[in-house]
Amino acid sequence: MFMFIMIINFLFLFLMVFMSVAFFTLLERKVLGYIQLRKGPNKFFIKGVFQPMGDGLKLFFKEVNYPSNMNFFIFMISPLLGLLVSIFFWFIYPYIGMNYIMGFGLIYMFCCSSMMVYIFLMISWSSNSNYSVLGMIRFISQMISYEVSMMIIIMNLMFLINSFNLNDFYIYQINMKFFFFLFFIFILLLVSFLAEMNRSPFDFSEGESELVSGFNIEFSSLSFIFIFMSEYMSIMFMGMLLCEMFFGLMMNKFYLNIYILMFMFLVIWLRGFLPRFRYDKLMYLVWKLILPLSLFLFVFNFSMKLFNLYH
Amino acid sequence: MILLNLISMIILTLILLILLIIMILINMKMKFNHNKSAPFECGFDPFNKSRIPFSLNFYLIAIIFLIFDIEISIILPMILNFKISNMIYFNLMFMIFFMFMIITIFYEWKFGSLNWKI
Repeated sequence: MFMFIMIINFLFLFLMVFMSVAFFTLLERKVLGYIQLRKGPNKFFIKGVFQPMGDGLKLFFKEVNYPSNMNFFIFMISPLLGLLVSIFFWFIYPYIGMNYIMGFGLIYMFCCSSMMVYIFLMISWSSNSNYSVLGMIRFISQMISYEVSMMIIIMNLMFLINSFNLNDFYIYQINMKFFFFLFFIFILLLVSFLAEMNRSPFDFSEGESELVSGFNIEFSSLSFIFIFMSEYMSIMFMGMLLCEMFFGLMMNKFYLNIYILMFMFLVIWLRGFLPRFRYDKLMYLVWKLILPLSLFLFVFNFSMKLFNLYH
Repeated sequence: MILLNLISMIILTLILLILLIIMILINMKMKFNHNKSAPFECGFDPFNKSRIPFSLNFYLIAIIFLIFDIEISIILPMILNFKISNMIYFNLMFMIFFMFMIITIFYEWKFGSLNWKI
């Protein structure tokens, strides 16, 4: 009985994540609309609140496009795998209920985010189109570069609290938040998350002007929904991680959701007003600026911790 | 507890697979058309194969990534070892290791493998 309730609990969490992804797309369309001085979707059911459901149903009943020289099995299965990996991130999110908190949660997060590289490789390689392969080469190069800096910065924080557990961030930061005295690291982590999630200033894999839609160009119908949802789900997860690590929120409380909402709004806002970066500058940014800086800051924070312990 | 995770993962996978199969069965079906199922290009048949050789820069980035990923996996256990190890030895090891990492990145910089224009 207990196990049954726990499994129902997990499935309910996943259902809610799917729902929030649906309304995240609506939020993005509305905010981008108001940034460009127009209204977003406001007609469909009650002032356009149920627009994402309509979009989802429409996409679900669309025709599946089978390109002539694809690899069939990988082509059909890889968007599903992408969605699964990005929802498995949410196992380390302890929400109200009988869930537990993983002791090695952040290592689990690293594993999942490394798996995403392979998933995107499979997605774009199997569709076998020129644009998707070019997008894949750019995207994987960008993703593995920023993964190094992201992991080093998160390890920096984990060294401060000496734990892999996400809930220990809360216990460590009851009196003072990391946001105030590690503000520089916060900005570096924000930039590497944006590049890791392939969001707007760094969206080279789906640059609309040169590669038409990048790695997901041959997909339609439910496969496209899967890819789309996996991207937005990972945005929300990264927001949760950032808020939890730098603001030390109690994980079960409601105001964590408000912080995540603020992060999501920030990501959409950045998409609204920033132009796209240049690719070689992106590579210089990570290898010549963020990575050396994060290494130096790692040593600095470690020595500050030692000073705190032993002086 | 791990069993519980696995069970809910499997249930979720099955639900999504069933959704995918339903989608394949009930979606809109059109007549097969050669031009429509060709890979997307600007209005004409593709000239060359799409699995093309890529630029050397990407390969070099992947090699450097490999070095740093191994170093990260060496650092990861240090986080819990910090509590139980001798501080003097630990600090010596930590500082030498990080010196090595920082020298690695600056060596790559000097060597020119981070430059995008070769």
